[in-house]
Amino acid sequence: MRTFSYIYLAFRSVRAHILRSILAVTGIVIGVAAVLIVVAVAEGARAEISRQINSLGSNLLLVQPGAQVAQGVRQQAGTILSLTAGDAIAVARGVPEVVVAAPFVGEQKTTISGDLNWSTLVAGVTPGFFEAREWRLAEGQLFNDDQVALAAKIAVIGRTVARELFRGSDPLGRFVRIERSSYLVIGTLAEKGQDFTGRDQDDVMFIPLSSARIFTIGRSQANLDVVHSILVKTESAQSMPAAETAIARVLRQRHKIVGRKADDFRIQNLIQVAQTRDRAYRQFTLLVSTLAGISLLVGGIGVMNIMLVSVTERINEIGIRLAFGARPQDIRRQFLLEAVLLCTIGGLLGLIVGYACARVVPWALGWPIEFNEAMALIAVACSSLVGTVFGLLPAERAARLDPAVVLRSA
Amino acid sequence: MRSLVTLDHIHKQHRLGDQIVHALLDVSLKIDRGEFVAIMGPSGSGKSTLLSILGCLDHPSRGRYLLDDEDVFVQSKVRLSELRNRRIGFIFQNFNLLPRLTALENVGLPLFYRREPLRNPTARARAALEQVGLGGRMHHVPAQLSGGEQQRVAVARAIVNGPDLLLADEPTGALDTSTRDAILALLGELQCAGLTVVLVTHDSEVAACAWRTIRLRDGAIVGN
Repeated sequence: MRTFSYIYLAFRSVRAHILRSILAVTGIVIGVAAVLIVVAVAEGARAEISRQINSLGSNLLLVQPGAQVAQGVRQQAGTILSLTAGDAIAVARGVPEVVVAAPFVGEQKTTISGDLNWSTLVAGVTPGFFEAREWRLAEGQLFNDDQVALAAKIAVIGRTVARELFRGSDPLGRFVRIERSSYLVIGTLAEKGQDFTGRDQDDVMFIPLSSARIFTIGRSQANLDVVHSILVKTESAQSMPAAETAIARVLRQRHKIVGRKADDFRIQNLIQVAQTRDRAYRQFTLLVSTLAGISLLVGGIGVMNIMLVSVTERINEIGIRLAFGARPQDIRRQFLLEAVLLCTIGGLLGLIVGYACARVVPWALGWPIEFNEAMALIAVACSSLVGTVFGLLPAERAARLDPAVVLRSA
Repeated sequence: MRSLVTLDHIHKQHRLGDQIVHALLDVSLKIDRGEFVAIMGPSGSGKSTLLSILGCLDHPSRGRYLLDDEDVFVQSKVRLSELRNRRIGFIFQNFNLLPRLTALENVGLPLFYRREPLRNPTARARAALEQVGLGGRMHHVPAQLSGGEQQRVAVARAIVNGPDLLLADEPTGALDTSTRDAILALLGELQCAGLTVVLVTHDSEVAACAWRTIRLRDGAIVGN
């Protein structure tokens, strides 16, 4: 009951100097709003990353050919074509942790349908690839192992290709031409969005691995069995390190690499790559929100400043209260509550401003935003805490005033 | 019967630079319950300091102050504020009302700081205002009241907690003659009802209302 009276008292005092109160809490408002906006933008970016991680498919290892060493200089990965479809089969058979080992060839090609053309990634894969990537169909069907064995001229196309080549009409049953080969579209894929490098994953056209090698990709290469990479899905996240070692052993054996000779392939954990980016982002978020938090502190100093002025200005009021029986702790409580109320109001205003900005940013700048309710609560709570901390000194000063001196100066 | 107030060899010194100014010099006096005492003297004679000490607002440099049997200046700050809250009421020359509060809220101020809160403080404050004849202006802020009315609010505030001792520092100094007389009459009524009134003035007409006049000069009592 008492506390309510004090809060009411503080509220009246804040309202009595409305302009000054608003100016005093501007720093807090900006601080809280800044924290919320920064966190919302960062959370949005992280949500995007985690969506990308999910879009990769889980428990994936990517095996790529190693770098060629030309006169001591290591070339780009994939400059030698050391992997074969046979390697993929051997890995699938020889490593128990492996669920799927999907060979992959891919090349940027111009695809043509009717009078439209579109340059896209044409990829030769086996059905296992869709399983590994956890890629769902939107319409139609995927190709099966028999169709791969027969080198059927069929295709499953990504959302972007469907849009660019067919402009809204149904692509199923239509043909896409790549150079002199035409492929029948039997399925369209569900949307995946960008991967963590920013590439549009839907800008792709899948054809059977066999057909790709025979008709479209790498026809000039001597060994038709060569693939560009092998995507391996393991049974669980825990089994990934073991699988990695086992795959390396199988491949070294098949490639006849012995002793201390370097591998001619490279195994990457794709999730790890994405997670590293996520961690970097999280640290960046922490840094920026710390900076925003500092502006909250600066706001607190602003409030302290105003409260000190207020104590000096209200010496008469304090004296009167003391003369009629206020204890020093009553005065302390009054001024402390006023500072806390001021900062809490600032925090709430900051919440409104931050929320409004978080609404505007995606609309204006096209950034994904994730408004964090927990963070909003924390920010408002922090501003109340700032009020307490920076209210202590003015409140203490008010409580220490000597009633005789106070009334004499009145 | 014991005196309500006993001052025993009170000294009060202020330090002004390297000079020591004696505001009060060996003041001893007794005030009985129900008395009406005026303290007179030229400005700078220590009247206000004496009143501050009586009101437990100021500490003497030396000496003892008994309020009934309680030795005031050995008490804690908290106990002193309780004494100011329950046993002493103040009236000031410039009223010292809180400008943003209504008359009723101003009168309620001492009730707000009571250790044992009343069940219905508003009723008590309203009764005090009616007692000083301001029942109709309870919800006015001080700026909407005349000087005399403001001083009545101040009197109501001083008596709302039922004190023993009413201390008035030049209560009529800012008022014209007719309102001055009304306030003095009000103080007289309160004194008749049993309150002990001590007022500081340099208006001898005001002092004439009192039973007893204490004259101060240069911090010492020169007439009683």
